[in-house]
Amino acid sequence: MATLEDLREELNTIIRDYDLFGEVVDRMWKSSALATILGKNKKQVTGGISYEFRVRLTETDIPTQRKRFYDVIETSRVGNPVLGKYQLGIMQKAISISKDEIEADKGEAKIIDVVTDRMKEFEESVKKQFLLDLIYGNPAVETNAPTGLEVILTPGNNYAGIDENTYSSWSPILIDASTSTYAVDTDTKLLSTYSTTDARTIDLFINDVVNKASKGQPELKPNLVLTTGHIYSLIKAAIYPQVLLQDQSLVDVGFENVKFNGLTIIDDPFIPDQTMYFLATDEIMMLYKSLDLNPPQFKQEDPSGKSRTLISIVEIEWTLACTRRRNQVKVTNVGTAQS
Amino acid sequence: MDLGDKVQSELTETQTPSQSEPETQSSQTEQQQEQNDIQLEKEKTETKPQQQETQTQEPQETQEEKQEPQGEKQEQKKYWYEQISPQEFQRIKAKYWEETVPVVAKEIGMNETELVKMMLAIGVDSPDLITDLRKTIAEIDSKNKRVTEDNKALKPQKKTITTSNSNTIKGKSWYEIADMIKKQRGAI
Repeated sequence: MATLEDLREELNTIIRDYDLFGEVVDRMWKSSALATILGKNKKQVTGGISYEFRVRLTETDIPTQRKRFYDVIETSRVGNPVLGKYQLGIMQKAISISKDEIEADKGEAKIIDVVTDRMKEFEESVKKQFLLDLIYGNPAVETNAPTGLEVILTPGNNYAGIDENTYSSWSPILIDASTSTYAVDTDTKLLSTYSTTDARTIDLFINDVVNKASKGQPELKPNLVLTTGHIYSLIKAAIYPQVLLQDQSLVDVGFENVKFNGLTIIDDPFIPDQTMYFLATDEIMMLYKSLDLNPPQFKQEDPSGKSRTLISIVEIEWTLACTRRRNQVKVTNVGTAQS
Repeated sequence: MDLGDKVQSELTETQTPSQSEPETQSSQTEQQQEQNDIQLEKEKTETKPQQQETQTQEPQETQEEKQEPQGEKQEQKKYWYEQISPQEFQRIKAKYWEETVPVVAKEIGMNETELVKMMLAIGVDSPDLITDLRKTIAEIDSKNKRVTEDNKALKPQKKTITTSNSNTIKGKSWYEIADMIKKQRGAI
C-alpha cells in the first residue's frame, strides 16, 4: 500500500515529466476564435506584476487631412511619451486529489487515469474562466482579475491610468445602435429582424462604424468584429447570397468566421447580448507570464499529515493591454434582446 | 560430534580465528576439541564407507575441517538435515554456503567474510535461517529495486519528454494522453 507521500511523488513526476499544466495552458490560449486572434499578439513578460507601455494617442483637433502626419509625429517624436500602466491578473485554480480516489493499491495506471481525468476537468474550468475574463475581467470589481475587453471598450474609466479628460483620444468609441441618429435603418432597430436586414443594410452599418473609428485612415481600421451568436447568424444569413468568404489568415485553427467588407466577423459565447465589438487587434497585446519552470506541485492539504488529500494551486497570470483605444468600438443595443 | 557442532565447525573455519584470542578461550577450545575428537572418531567408524565414496578426492581437507576447534555448543535443532548423513549434509552445506554467501553478500553490498561473521554473531547458522534472511533481503531489495528501476527508467525519459513532450501530447485527447503515459511508464 503506497503512502500519501509515495502518491504525491508519483503524481508530481507524471505532471512534471509530461508538463501537463503547460499543456492545459497552451490549450487555454487557443480555446476560442477570439482567444486565438488576440493570442497572435501575445507578449511574454517576466518579473513583477505591473508593466508600462507607450500608448498611441492622436490629437482630435488636427485637421483630418493632416491627421495621419501628426499622428506619426505625436507618437514618435513630439513630447514625452505617455505610458500606460498595465497590471497582470492572476487566475488561480486549485486541483485536489484524495488518496481514496486514487486507491493506491490499484497501481500506476489508476493514478495516470485520475491525473488525466482531473486535467481534463481542470482544462474545462480554466478555459471557461479565461474566456469570461477575456470579456468581463475587471480588476476594479474583482481583485487581481485580468483586464478584459469590456474595460478597454468602456469610455470614462481612465484605463491604464491615463486620464481621458487630458487625452481625449484615449477614449474608445461607444455607439448605441438603437438611437435614431445613428441607426442605419431608422424604421427598425438594426438587425432586429431577418426580413428587414439585408446585406446592404449590414454593409452600410459596418462601413459607418469603421469610418467613425478610423476617420478614413486605413491603418486605424478595425480588423475584427466580435458579436453574439445571434447577430452573427443574422449577418451570415443576410450576406450569404451575396458574398461569403472564409478567412484563413486571422482565424486558422478551425473556428468558423465570415470575411465581409475587409473585416473578419466571429461570434463569441460570452459577449454581452445585443453587442458588437469592432477591434483593431494589432493594438491589443496579450501579456502573460509563463508558468514557473518548476510546475505547481501537489502538496498535502494538511501538512500535519492528517489529511488524505493532495492539492495543487495553479496560477496563470495574464491580462489584455490596449495601447490605442480611439479605434476600438463597442456597439450596443444591436437587434432585439435574446433570452 | 553432533550436527550442530559440525555446522559450527565449518562456520568457524570461514571465520579464521585470530591468533590474538585470549588464552582463556583457547583453553576452553582445547577441552572441547578433546570431546570433539572422541565424537569424530566414533563418526568415522560409523560412516567410513560413505566418506570414502564422497570425499575420495580431498580426504585430508575434510579431516582437517572436522578437527577445527569449536566455539560453543549449538543447541540441537530438528531440521531436515538431521535426516541425512552428516557427510552428505556437510557436502550440501558446503556447497550452499559457497553459493549463497557470495550472492547474499553482493545483494546487500557487504564483504563475504564480514557477512559470515555478522550472521554468526546474530546466530544465523543454518540454511533455513539463511533462507529466511535471504527472503527478507529479497523483499527489501525488491522494493528498493522498484524505486531504482523507476528512477533509471524515468531519467532518460525525462530528457526526451521535455524536448518532445509538446509534440507528443499536443492536440491529443486526455484519454490518448493517459494511454501514452501508461505505455511510456510501463503501467500497461
